[in-house]
Amino acid sequence: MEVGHSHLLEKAALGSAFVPASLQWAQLEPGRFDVQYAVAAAAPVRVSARRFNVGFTGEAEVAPRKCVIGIIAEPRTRARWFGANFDETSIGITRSTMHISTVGRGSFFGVVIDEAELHRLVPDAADALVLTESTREAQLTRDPINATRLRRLLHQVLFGAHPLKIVYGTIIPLLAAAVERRDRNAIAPTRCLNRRLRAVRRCEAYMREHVDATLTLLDLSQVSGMRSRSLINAFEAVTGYSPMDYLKRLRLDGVHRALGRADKSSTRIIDVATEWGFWHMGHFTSNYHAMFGETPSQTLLR
Amino acid sequence: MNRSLYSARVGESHFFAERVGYEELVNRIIEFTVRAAVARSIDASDWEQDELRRGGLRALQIFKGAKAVWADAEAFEGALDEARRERIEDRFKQTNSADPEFYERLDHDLIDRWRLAGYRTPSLAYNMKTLFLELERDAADRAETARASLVGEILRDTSS
Repeated sequence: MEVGHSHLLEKAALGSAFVPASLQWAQLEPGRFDVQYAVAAAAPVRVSARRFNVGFTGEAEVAPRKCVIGIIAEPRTRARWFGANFDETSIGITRSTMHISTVGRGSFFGVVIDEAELHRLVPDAADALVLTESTREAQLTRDPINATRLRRLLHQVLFGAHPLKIVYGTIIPLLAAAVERRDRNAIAPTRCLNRRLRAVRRCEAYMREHVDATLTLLDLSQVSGMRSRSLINAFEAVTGYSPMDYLKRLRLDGVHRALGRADKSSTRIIDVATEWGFWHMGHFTSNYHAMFGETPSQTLLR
Repeated sequence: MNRSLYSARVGESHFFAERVGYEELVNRIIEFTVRAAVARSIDASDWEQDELRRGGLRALQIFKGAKAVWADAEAFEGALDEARRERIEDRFKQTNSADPEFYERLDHDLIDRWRLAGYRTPSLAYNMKTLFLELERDAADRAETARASLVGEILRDTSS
């Protein structure tokens, strides 16, 4: 088990759980984004913990034949899973897509189950069937008892003395129990939330495609098929930000990441900023500093 | 006569003045402020309007001709140094200029105009919360009076 931050750990934490090209994430709150990972793996389970100090939003497609289960690791964590409140009593399960946003610092446990490995290692077990035959749609289950048990167990696996190999016989049945209980405790997203989430995701995709353009609320309203006021309400409910505020944060995050991986010798900050739709360099510089606690050139030279 | 033309926006998209003279710029800022405060009084304000309330004149992106006007001279010097390092000083200067005095003058002129309209407000440079509070209160009072008057009018019209 390793703890810390490195690209290797990040890769290990994500594993092959998600389709790499589908992974989108952005820092939305001011502060220096820092994430620490802890990873333990023993087929068919990979357990990871992510501790982050600034809120972010992320979405991805789950890789074929993988099941991803998310549990909040620290009760203070505030998050939304597909727009619905996600707290320490929640267990998120998905075999299709994942959409999460967080507020402030917090941490998650993620459990990825490889279905092929699961069948190979425990071919006829009822637990394996429950896990692999669970619904493809993303679900959010309120299950305080199993969530607490899982949290304790996963913490022991990652930070205690129990190797995953010994306890995965316990984890699999617990996860299966959580998945089985989902029918009774699942939060079926309301039609209103579904509609709002669809509109927000459509706008997010449009924003990412048109980062350098002058987008207005009217454009987003047309893209989403919602009236402006409804769209503002939808964004505030799902992301916690208004559409234009969200767009600005998305753009600042885009510049930050572009500068972070740019070639120092040939990159011009003014070009990157313009590419992401910032035309007033004075405002861009002060907003960037307020968001990341450093100037664009400091990011570039880091 | 070479008259400077200004453009102003909040956020990256919301232009409320494009290539207008200084006096017109002041008018547009006042109009934008009034609309923002009235919208806020009925809880229907947009993000750009809230940005103005929270950030004051510093929330406005002002362009003089094709140049972005910087309010913070120190930050401008830092960015200019950076542009020198990147060897794009000329290009940077073509599209940017530092003019803190412009923002001071704007603040001063706006305070004067608001005073003439009966609103005493502290500096609007960093936020407009006090002014918004006054405007919102007036908007709410006016709406209350209009509602009461409408009720009276309808009752009068419907009385036999």
